[in-house]
Amino acid sequence: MLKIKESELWEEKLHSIFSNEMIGVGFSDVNKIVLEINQKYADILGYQREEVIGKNWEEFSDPKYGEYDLANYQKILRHEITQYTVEKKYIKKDGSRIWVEIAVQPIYKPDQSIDFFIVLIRDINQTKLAFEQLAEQLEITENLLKKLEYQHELLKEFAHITSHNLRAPVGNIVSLIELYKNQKIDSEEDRKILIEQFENITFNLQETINTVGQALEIQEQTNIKIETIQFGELFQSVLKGLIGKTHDLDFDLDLNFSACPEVNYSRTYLKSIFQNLLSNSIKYRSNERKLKIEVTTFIQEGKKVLTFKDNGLGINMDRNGKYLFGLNKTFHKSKNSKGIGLFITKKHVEAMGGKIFAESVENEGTTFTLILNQYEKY
Amino acid sequence: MKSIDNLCVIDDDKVCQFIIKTYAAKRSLAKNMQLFSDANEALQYLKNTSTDPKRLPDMILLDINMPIMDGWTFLEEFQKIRENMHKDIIINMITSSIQEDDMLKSKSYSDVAGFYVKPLNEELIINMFEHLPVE
Repeated sequence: MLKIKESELWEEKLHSIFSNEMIGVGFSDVNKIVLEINQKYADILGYQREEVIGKNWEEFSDPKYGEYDLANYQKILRHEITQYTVEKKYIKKDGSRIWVEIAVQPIYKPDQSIDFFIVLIRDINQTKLAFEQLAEQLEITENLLKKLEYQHELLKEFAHITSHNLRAPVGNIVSLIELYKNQKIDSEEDRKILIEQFENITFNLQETINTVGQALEIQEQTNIKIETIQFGELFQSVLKGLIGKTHDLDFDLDLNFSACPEVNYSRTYLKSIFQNLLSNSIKYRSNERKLKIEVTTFIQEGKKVLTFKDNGLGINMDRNGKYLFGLNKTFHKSKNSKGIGLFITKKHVEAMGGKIFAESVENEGTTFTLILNQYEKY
Repeated sequence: MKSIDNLCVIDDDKVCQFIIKTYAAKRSLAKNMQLFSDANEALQYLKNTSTDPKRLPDMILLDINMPIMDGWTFLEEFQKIRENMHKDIIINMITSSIQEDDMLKSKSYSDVAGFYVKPLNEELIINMFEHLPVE
C-alpha cells in the first residue's frame, strides 16, 4: 500500500519536470521523429504540441546550423559519444528564427541499441542576439579604428611630402636666388644653367602639386561610380590604348581571369591601375629576356585578389620596399621615371577599400598583389 | 679659409650640385671636384681610387634621399671599403630632411662628421670647411 503511494509520488515529481516552464523537454526516435514534447518546447517553437509530434525535427531546424548537430547525431548512432550540446537556430511556425541550446542524450535498450532520445532545449535567443549586436558594434569600432589609422598614415605621408617634395625644391629656389644675388654667377654659361634650373624646379613643383592634388581628389571622392567590370574586357581596352605609343609591345601576356572574372569597382580607377602596372612592367623590362606578364585574379577568404607579375628588372626590396609607393620615389636609372604611377595606383586601390603590396627580386621580376576589397570603403 | 684638394658631392639633385660647385669654385674651397648623381657610381669611383690617396676625396658631401642607393646604404657600403683607404675622409651629410630621426641616425655613423639641412647657402658651405680638422 505504502509502496504504491511512493511510486505515485515519484511519477508526480517526474511529471512536474516534464511540465516545467523553464526548459523544453522532448523525446524523439532514431529516425528523428518527435515522439512527445512538453508545452514549453511547443511555446519556444510557436506551435501547438500536437503539430510538432510526429514531425521530423530536421523540418524545424535551420539547415545553416545543422552540420555540427547532425555530425554529433551520427556519432551518437555510432556509439562514439553518449550525449551532446549544441547551439542552433530553430525555425518557428511563423518562419522566424530562434536561437536555442539543445542537449541530446540517447536512452538505450537492454541490447544496447538506441530506444529513444531525450532532448532538452533552452531559449537563448536574447543572449545570442545581444552577442551578435555586440560583435557588430565591435566590427564597426574596428573599422573606425582602421579608418583612423589610415587617415593617420595619410597625414604622415603628407608631412613627408611637405618635408621632401615641396621643401627641397623651394629651398633650391632660395639657394639659386642667393647665388645670383651674391654675384657668384658671372659667366654666360652659368647664367644659362641657372635659368634652366629655375625652369626645371618650377616644372617639377607644378607636377608635384598636380599629383598631390590628384591624390587628394581620389581620397575625397565619395560618390565615385561603381560598376561591374569584366577584368578581361577592361584589360584588352587598356592594351589597345597602349598601341601607337612609344612602348615596345612585343611581350608575352598570360591572363587568367577565370577564377574571378569580374569585380564591382570604379572603371576609371581600375583602368588607371592596369595602365600604371602595365607601363611599369614595360618600362622596367630586362634586356636579357623577353618580357612576360602574368595577370591572375582569384578569390581568397572571400576577397577578390589580383596578382600582376613580370620578369623584369625588379626592385631591391630591402633597400626600397618602404619607399615603393611614395611620391617621386624612383628606383632605376635614366628611365625617365617620375615616381608618380605607383603613388597614384596605391591611392586608387585604397579609395576602393583595397590594399596593394609588392614582392620583388632584383633581376628576376616583380609581383604586385592587390586585395581589391579588403575593407569596407574608407 | 681652409681649402682641400678633392671634394666629392653625391646628390641626385642637380641644382644642389650646381650650387656647391659654384660656391666652391668662387671661394676656392677645393682644387678638384667629383660630382655624382648616383651613389653607386660614387662607390665605384672610391673603390677604383682607394689605393691612391692623391685622388681620393678629402671631403664627401652626401645626400640622404636618392633613388637606387640612398645615403644610408652608401654609408654601409663605404664602411666595408674604408679599411683599404689610407686617408681620413670627412663625410658631411646634406639633406632636405628636417626629420630628427635622420639626424640621430647620422650620429650613429662614426664616419659622419656633420649633418647639414638644405637649403644650401654660402654660410652653410663655408661652415663645413671651417670645421675641417687642423692638420
